[in-house]
Amino acid sequence: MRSFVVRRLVQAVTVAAAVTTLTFVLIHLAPGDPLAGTMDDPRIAPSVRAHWRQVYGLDRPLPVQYVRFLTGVARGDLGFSVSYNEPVIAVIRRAVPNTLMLAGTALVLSFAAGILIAVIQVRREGTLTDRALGAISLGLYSLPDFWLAQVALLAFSYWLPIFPAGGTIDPVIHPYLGPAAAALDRVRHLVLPAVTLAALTAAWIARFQRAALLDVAADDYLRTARAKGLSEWTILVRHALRNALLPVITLFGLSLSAFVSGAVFVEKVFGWPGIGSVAVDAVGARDYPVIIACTIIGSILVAAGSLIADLLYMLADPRLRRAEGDADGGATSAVAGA
Amino acid sequence: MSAGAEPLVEVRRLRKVYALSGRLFGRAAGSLTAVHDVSFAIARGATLALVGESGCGKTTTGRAVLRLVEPTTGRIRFDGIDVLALGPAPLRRLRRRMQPVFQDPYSSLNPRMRVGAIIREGLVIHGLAEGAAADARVRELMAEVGLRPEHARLYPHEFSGGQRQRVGIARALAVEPDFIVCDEPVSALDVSVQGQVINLLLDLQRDRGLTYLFIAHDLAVVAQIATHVAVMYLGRIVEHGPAAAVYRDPIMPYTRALLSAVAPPDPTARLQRLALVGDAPSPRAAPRGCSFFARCPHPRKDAECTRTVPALELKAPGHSAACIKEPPRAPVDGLIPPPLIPSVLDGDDIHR
Repeated sequence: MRSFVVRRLVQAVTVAAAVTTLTFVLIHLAPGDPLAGTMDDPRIAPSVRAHWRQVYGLDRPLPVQYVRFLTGVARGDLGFSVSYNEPVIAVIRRAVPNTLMLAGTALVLSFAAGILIAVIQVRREGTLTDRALGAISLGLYSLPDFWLAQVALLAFSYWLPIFPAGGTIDPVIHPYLGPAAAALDRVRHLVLPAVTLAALTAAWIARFQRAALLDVAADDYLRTARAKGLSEWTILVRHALRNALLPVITLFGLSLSAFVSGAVFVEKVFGWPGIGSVAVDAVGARDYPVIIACTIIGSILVAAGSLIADLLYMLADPRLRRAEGDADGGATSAVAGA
Repeated sequence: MSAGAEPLVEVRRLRKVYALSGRLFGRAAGSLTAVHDVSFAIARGATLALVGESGCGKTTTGRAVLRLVEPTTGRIRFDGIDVLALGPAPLRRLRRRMQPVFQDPYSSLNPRMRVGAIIREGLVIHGLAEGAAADARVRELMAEVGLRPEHARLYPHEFSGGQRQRVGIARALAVEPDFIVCDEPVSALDVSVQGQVINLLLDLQRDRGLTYLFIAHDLAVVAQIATHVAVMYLGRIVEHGPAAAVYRDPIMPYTRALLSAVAPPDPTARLQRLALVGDAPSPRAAPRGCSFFARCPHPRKDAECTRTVPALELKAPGHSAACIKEPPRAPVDGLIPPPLIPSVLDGDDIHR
């Protein structure tokens, strides 16, 4: 088990390094640099521009910049953000908890809702309920998340102003709220972005879970369970779901990358100050160190997700626990979709 | 087990028709009659063996008797209870008294549950034991079927095939049933293990007065355990009688062919096989008349056989067969026991 975890960690670091390099090369291939917006003004003397480019090391050849960047990262220094005018690490440290909060809530919501929908569908297989839920989840699955986010915003904070339009807290009244009211304020701000982010994944999980449940539906041990005299619900939840959960655990690792990339749009729409918002702003500002830091965070999250999925696999399937040594579980491959 | 006592299980004209699904959005493209008006009864403490080739409907019959598949028509009485009339809740309660042991000891046990939990679940559901008492009962049951009680903590995949089948038997026994449908319980096992499991089933029957419906495709296995034998062919019972009579004097050519395939214990003995030509016809396109006609080696078979579906008729005391070319025979000697139960409840032909 330990050797398995170590091997997966090495894999994760390799993936993160590859993704970082790729991002570094790609953003430097694009025109412009962090100073382009402010400095490339005809009124600023070329010598001033050259001076500042030299300060930030932007005048060096690409390989040199890359090596400088890597040695920085190795020392835990992610560089200095031009657009935020503070160290990248400070920007990231502020944003990560917000993203974890949002993605974590969406993760729990989407799995709970997806599995519940699938169980209801299978229990009512072939009925109108099954087909209606199937149509809804297919519809949701086909929607782009940024569109859904904007419609949710329009519907539930403009037309029907139940929820706040953005941010994590109400900046005006939050400091004056008691602990309970402050928590409620956070929850109210969390609902729309979390539900939006969860909706698409929930639909995706529901479709997978339904198929997986129907897959085991013909298994002999379910006939055994029926012969014991268990009710259909007990058979479905205790016997079928327990076996049909395995393929869905695979989705856990994959869904993390979906949440990371989904968060980019959803956070931006809801003004949620997480990694996604930071990444979008950084791309606009050509803030290289911040973009790369976001990419690294993204690939770490995705790699961690697939590692957790593989560990969950072992937990869920007693047959894998003994066979830990051979094969990589093979459940998920970590490729960031950022 | 006196003659004339009411049988524990009584099945009348059981029929199971499957609709064959057609192309996309199409209506049913036809139907398949897997079980065609099967009738039999099993006395308390007796073992009826249902034998036949794969696909003849014997497994479907066994499952239908337990209502693990819903029969299309027919009647099933279990200890006087009309099984098909029961709603979901009474049916679940009745399940305590009738249990299956399945063919495949690998797939019939939930791979995510420890065997102790598998055996225990039925106990708790039916309120037979709880908590520590249930655990103790699980250990007793495991010991009874020849497993080590401390293995209750293991998962099914950690056992061998024979051990897993013992788990399956312990699980069935846990709820203290009166009747067990053994669906080819030894077919997936090695020959040496087959004997052990059969002996276990015999011991349990003796100790607990169990009644068995024993499904098999192999008459050699059946010989050790059956008190009565019913031979199925293409969804119908074609021969039925006390085991001794069927083995000594098989009436149907089909039964004779099955018996001739049994390897004698003496390896030097020449096997006098009565080989059948061709395969059993598909139940989708059942032939007219006698379904066995195409493969039948009977010397007197003729066009008449293709016109009438032969009904099961008494040919000897307690021994019936569905062949119009076999005359009833006088009892060979006094050794054939009188029938414990009427072998066929309805002799009439209801074939449309």
